[in-house]
Amino acid sequence: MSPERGAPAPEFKLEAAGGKTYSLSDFRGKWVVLFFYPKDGTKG
Amino acid sequence: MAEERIKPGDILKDFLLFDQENKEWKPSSFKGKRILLSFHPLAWTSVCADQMKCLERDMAVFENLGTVPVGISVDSVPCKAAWAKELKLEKLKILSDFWPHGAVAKELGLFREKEGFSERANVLVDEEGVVVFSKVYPLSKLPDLQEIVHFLKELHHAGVDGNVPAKQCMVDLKGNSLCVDDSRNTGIQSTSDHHLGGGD
Repeated sequence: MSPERGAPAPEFKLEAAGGKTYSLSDFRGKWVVLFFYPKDGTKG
Repeated sequence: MAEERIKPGDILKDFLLFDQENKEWKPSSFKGKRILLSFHPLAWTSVCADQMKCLERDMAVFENLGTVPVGISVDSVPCKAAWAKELKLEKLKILSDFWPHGAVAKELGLFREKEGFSERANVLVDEEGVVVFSKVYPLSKLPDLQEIVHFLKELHHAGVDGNVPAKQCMVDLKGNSLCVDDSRNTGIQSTSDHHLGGGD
């Protein structure tokens, strides 16, 4: 299901390059842009 | 439901994957050759890099023994392309088992559901598509390629001499089992020959 406007974003936790784990809530108080892209190592 | 782990005596089903150059790769394209499927967890990690570099280094050795080695992991083709460049691979093909995710690893019972990648494993298939050697290694351990080269040489000699049918070469001349992995007891254990035991 796609995210709905006006609804709170679901909390998640992911490991980033470098091994550090980030949660969405780590950025509370800031605007966050989630930029999804298909595959590493491509032009897209 | 996970498939049963592939073992000596099993037949390898044909499959289609793409290599780092986005070219089709199928076991059935290599009629008359043995194939070494070298599974590893993830690109861009150190043990996996060493595993691939060792295969690249020994390509000529494998070629002389009528064997085509390939690397396989769940990483995508563009990722494999970038990694092949980084590792300076010239001959070795590294295949992308990306989508359906880990399908070949799953088919061979080598997929780790919890982590989402494959075991570190070597599966050697003879000219008829019969598995003659399979071994799963601890994730942190670099596979011993010499063990496989030695095994191939034994097969080779057996074939040349005509004394021992190739498919019975799972036991070496001293009676030590050559086809063991670390999760399964194949019955015959090495007691004297430290080169061939594989029980680590």
